[in-house]
Amino acid sequence: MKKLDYYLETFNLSWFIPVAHLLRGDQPAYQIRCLLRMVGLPILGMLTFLFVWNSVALHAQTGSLRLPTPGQVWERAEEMVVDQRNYQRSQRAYEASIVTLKAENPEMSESEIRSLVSFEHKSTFLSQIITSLQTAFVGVGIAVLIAVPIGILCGLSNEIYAMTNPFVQLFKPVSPLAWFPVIYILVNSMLPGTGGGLNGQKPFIIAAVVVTLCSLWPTLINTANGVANVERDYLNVAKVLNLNILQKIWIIVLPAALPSIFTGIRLSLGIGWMVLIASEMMAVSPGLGGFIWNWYQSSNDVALSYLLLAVIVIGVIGFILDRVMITAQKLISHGSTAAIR
Amino acid sequence: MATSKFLEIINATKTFSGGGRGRVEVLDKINFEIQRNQFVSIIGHSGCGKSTLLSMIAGLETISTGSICFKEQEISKPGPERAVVFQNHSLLPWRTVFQNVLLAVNTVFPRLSKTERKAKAERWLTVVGLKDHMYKYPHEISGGMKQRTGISRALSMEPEMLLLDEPFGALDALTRSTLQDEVLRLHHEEHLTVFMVTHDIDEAVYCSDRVIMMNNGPKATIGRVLEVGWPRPRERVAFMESPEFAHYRNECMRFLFWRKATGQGDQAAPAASAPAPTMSQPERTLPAQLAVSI
Repeated sequence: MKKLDYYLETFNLSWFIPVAHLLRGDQPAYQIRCLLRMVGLPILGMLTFLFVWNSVALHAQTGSLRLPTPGQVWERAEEMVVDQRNYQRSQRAYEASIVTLKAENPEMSESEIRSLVSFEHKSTFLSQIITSLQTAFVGVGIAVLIAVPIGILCGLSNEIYAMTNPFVQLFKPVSPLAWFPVIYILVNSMLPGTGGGLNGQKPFIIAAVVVTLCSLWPTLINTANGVANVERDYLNVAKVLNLNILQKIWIIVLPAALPSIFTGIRLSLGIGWMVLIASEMMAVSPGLGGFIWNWYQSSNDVALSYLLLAVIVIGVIGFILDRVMITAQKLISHGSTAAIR
Repeated sequence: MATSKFLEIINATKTFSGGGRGRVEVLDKINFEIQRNQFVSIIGHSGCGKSTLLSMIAGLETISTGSICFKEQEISKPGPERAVVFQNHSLLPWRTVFQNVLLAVNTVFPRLSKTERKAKAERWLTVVGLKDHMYKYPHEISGGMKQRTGISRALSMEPEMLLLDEPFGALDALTRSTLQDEVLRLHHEEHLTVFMVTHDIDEAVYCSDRVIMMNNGPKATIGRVLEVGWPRPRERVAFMESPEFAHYRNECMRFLFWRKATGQGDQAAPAASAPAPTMSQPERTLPAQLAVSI
């Protein structure tokens, strides 16, 4: 039972612990109270919010536009699901037709057939979400690959830290909107022309680089801190064992600093996800930012409900990413947190 | 007991420079020798630099002036022949007990095969009685077991000398005495030379052949040296109940507490007022060789 509790807690399902206890029938009254506090109150808060939103949307008129109600936003979400299903169905139909055409015209190659029968690839809401996630992961991934080694160097050597610190302090507060034009011009000049190869990926690259530049700093700072604060005892172990510098980093410093490196990565991912939408909007990328930009530009009456849907989806994804990172953090820092407990 | 020069500390001083407080002279002109297979303890009030001295012997701290020679060779860096057991065990929490010991074996014996190294790590864990717990993580075992792991990690390097830095300070009294006996057994069986920093007078007297008492810092010097001539292997109750033990103990107490109360050097300490150990038990043939000297 304790073990189950531990896994539930690690995977952020601590609200499920009372349910599990309840199923086994120990202290039902206490477990129900726990459950009400852990699950009931958040749900109550949520319902209050939806009620207020709904009544404001119904009664407050703002000029020609009406604030969409939660119900209307929900309809948009359903619409997106239907849209996705239809698109997948037509895609399957197209692939099937290609197969039959190929069978009927064995003398033609597949690419020839595909060039004759066109299929309009369009980005659905799901594909936009996936693009956004990819951009965020690539951007933050590059940031981590750059920040962790530099952070380790900064943490190991005060001199390198003193050299790096001014840059970190200088660039840390820079907004993604300030970086965007610089990166836009640079990427455009490095990848001239349109279409084909990497050029088709331009908005993706621009958005990812902006994400990288903004999400570097938390990982860098936390890595440096984690490495600089590795317990003296552990470093003494390295000394007594005569470890060389690489062994020292790999065997002692890195595992000891891993929890704070992960804290840094988690913060970076949070910032990256926030920055991503802004940079995607400006890059007109086929991601969620692009989705928002398109609806913002359109003079459609229902635009507002789509935009609110996007806001909610962005929030939910950000929340899930954070939870995943917290879980990862708990898993890797198992030993040291348990020692504190 | 061979009387070759095993560890020699000659006029060693330690000065910490820099920092907010400027230069701090911690140790001043420390001179003593440890012979092979001896058990020597150093005792003194907190901050007298006894742990610094141990770090210097271990090679973790530099020596400001003077020198420390191990088997006629000046110490400049840590080495597996001088293994340290740290006060707070300093096990790596992300490695199991076994992996912690294996790390030491791997770095000290890189030429052995993997199975040989594993066998070695397992052997030393068995010696300290941890065979059944070797796949646990440090946070899953008790304080005494952690310190046993620390000792077995040090022993697994097959050192000639064991440096113990207040090894049992964080343990409860019962666990502490069990581990003291264990260390004494290992000292006897593995023919180890042991240098131990402690601030527990009973522990120092019970374990040691010689107890070195430090004056207070800054510029701490050796105040008194007490030879403890009780035969080995020692039997805890018999030794601790003997008048000799009480005498050794009083000598230490008088030095440490008189020293603290007056803040003066040892030379001005009052003569021992307690009666010399009575040799009333003729079955104990070995007289307490009490040599108070510097």
